[in-house]
Amino acid sequence: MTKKETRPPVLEVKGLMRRYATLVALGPLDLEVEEGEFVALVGPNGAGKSTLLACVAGLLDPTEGEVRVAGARAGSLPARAATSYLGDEPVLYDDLSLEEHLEYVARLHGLLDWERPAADLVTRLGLEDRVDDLPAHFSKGMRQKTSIALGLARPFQLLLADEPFDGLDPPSREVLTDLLSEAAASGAVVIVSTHRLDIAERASRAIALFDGQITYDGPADQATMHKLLP
Amino acid sequence: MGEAASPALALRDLRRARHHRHQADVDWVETLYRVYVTVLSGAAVIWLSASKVSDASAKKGGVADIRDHGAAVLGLVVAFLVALGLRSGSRGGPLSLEAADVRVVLLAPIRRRLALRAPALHQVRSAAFVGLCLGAVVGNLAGHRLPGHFAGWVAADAGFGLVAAVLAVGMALLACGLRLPRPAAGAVGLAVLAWSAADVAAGTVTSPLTIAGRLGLGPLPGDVRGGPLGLAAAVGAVAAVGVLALAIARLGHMSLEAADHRGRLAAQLRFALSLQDLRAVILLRRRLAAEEPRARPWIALRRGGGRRFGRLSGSETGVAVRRRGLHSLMRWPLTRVLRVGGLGIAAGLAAAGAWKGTTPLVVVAGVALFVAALDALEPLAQEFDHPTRLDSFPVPPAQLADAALLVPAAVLAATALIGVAIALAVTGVAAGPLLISVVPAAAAAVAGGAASLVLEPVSAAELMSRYPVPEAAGPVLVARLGFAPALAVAGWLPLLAGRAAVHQKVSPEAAVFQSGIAVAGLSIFVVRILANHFQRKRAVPEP
Repeated sequence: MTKKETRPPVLEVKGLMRRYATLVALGPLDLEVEEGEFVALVGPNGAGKSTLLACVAGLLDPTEGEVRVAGARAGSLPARAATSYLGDEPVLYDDLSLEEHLEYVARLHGLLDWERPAADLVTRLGLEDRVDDLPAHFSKGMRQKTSIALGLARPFQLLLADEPFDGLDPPSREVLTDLLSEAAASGAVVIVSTHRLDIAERASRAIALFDGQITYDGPADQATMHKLLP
Repeated sequence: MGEAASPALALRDLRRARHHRHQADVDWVETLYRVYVTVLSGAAVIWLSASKVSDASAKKGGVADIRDHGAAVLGLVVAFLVALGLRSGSRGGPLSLEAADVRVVLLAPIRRRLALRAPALHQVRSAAFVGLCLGAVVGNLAGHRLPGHFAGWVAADAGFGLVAAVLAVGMALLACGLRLPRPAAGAVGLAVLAWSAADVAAGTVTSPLTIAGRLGLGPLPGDVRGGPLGLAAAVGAVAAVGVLALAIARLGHMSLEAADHRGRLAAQLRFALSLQDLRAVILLRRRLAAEEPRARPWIALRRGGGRRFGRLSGSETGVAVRRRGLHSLMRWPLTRVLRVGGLGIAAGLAAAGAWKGTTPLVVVAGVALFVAALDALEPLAQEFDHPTRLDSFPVPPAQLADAALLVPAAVLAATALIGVAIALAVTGVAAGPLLISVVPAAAAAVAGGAASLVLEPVSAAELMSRYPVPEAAGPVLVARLGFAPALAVAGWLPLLAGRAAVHQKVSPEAAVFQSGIAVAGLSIFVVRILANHFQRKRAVPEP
């Protein structure tokens, strides 16, 4: 066996089920995602996309089953080091500037040389003139871009993004799609939940959820995505 | 950055930097003014509680009762706080982290216990301080009435308050760290309460909380049940420190889901409080406590029923609105039923206390019914929450409000009646005046609740811009905030009229009845004015 074969998948989901009171929101479902995959997670509202991502991030506890990130239980210290999670709405500190946010997140993740990569990221997202401003005063789209910058400024093996394109203008959507593709090309797993056909078509794999169950798991080719995202 | 990038160091640096920034942003003159006002109000409350409530020394029989049952009763108080702590912990409390801290810090590769220790200890310190102060105030009262060294009473009760507060917050943190399910937390809380209640009923000393309760009896001379004071202090300290140490050790295991949910709601709650928006505070507090309406009603109302009720009022609107009120009532969760019931009992007991001579207890009785009214008026509150929907009804808002007040009035009257009945059974005071005073008390509580819904929150800055003399804004703001609860307190004033009649050798029942009619009439008048005020505000101007 080669070294690569012995390495666990970046994301491994076994028998995952999540209930809210009596409502089964997700699963049971099994899933494996290998490094370098760019996965589009699609499905109608209430299909379980956000619940799946939050369970993988360790933000929600599974009712049953197991989620492992890079071989570690989701939510554990190594899994948190490997997982970057962009929630469905930006959650930022009121009293930190964009730069202070970036420094804080980078240092929490043990980064020494964070400034140059962070500056590049900020420039690509068009926020270079606002680094000293408080995101609390930003527009919705700019807050979203700040959240994206924070998610990408830290090291990760698995990037989870819950509808990150909401509130972004077309050029920013394009930049974000490029950033996600680059992250996947560098070997990270990128899982993006989206309703946008143009984004989903750029993914290497599509997973469709309906009523908490996987109804499609395969290539994100144009014909399939047209069926899944009419 | 030349230094090694340690996540713990980053966390410490950020917290320090934010602390310094907050300090730099503080307006020290404003802060000193607030401290001055707080100290002045606190001193006034302590002076009033010590000298005006009643300075009479406890009678011999009363002291003997305190010796026999005091420790167990105080143990029951601690048990109640512990049960509340367990309840809060099972719902993700007592910590209310910033939402960004949950997403950024608790999802970062840093030990959660390390990240949570500082906010947890901050919360414990705050609770301990409040417990200490409240205990000292109670000690001040006890020291004036009971035998024993005055300073000893203050010190012992301050210590008791501190132990009780730390135990309550510690249990909440422990339940949170253990992720105790709600039913389990409820069961443990009930067991702790039952154990202490059994000690009260049987006159035994079996619960450790009864032993800790002995601490609150401080320097009371004689054979005090509960053991020596030193043992009580040791048991209290060991229990508080032990629970706290266990809680801190388990902190890292808390549910992120609950922390995230709570963090978001707490931020909204703080904002609502800063705006003095009572309605928003109530809604957010319910969400924090996960207090949802029942999926199935206690009793399903018959379809098409209520016609006879409607004919009485002569309006189809009345039927619809009152049935909507009953539907809401039938979906009250058990916690709300218990809370309103508890408030009714508190109001009844306080009213009985006021009748027996402790006049300020009418404030407690009024405020208790006012808080109950905020729950009872939920259907009307929901109409006011969405005024555009209210505008879409082909009914004048004042007419709808009138119809919507009948069910809450009946609920409050029943609540107060139950409370008064229990108070009569416990205290054995004269039944007539208390029973008659239920009607004006309920009417005034409804009026107070309606006032809190109709009168929108107003900021000091807004008031200052409205008045030519800015200094007038303060008293106006206080009057505006205090109007609704003061109305509810006024509902119990007929009881005081009845008490005065006893001294003048006149029938107390007649005095309560006559003044009760006046208060009930005033309440109806206030409600009419408020409803018309709201209607005028919503009126579409004629072209």
